[in-house]
Amino acid sequence: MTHAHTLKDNRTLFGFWLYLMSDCLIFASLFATYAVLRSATYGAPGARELFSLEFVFLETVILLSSSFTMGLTVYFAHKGKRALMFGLLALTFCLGTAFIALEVSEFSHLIQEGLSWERSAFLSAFFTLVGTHGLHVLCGLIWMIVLAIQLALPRYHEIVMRRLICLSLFWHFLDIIWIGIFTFVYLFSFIV
Amino acid sequence: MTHHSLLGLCTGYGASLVLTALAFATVVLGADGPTAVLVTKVCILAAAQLVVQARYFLHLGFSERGDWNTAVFAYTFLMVLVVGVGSLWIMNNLAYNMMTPQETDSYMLKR
Repeated sequence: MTHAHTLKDNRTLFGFWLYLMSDCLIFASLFATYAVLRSATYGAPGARELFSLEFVFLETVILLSSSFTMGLTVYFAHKGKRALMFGLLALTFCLGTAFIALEVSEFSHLIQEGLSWERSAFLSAFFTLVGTHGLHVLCGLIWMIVLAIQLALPRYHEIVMRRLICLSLFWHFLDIIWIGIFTFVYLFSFIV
Repeated sequence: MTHHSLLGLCTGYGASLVLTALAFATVVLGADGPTAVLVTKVCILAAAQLVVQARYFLHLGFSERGDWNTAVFAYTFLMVLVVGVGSLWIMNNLAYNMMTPQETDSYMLKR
């Protein structure tokens, strides 16, 4: 890689990093909203009655594993091992899809019980916070499909590599947001 | 930030799994302990998890000269704290000042 390329890489990655950090502030305001409204249940069941720790533990392990396989994808992409790269990207995609499927099943279960975002301020804040994270994960999955097609094309290798690194940063970032969610939404509901 | 090593990735994955299991075990096994202790433990585990992820997955360095990514990350972390802690502080203060006479009575009795 030439010097000009690394410089451009660094600029692109820094710009993308700035976007991620501003996204972080969106989540910060949603976390703050949740923290303020978490006891405003308006007679509906609160956090402790609704959540299951085993379920969240499974979700967390799946998302952590997908973050790991995404790291491996970038590692093997740098090494030029394309078969491994595609395999691991596909695995990351499957884990991400499994995570989304679990989240959708949790949401639809709550809605069927009549506990949608309309029921109480606590549920509004919960659905907005966790739903925004889920929407980000969904965008990441769509991004993976688009990038897989670009990676399969023979041209523009360096540009596509840069995009892959951006995607990996995005994915690791979502993992960090999830740490906040499982700590302050799920674990805290069993403590405080 | 882009230089992954296989060992680093595996270390990060292992450490994050252990920290997750510890956090869940703390809540499941110690659910009847004092609240303040549990909150502190879980927060420390979350902070450790954040450091592990930032170090091994995001590759944020703390020694490289002129690492703007880390500077922006630290600034964002500060802003997140301001938004989070600030909101809770203001809203609690609001709730305190907006108590009905009955709530004030029961609040005073509790003191």
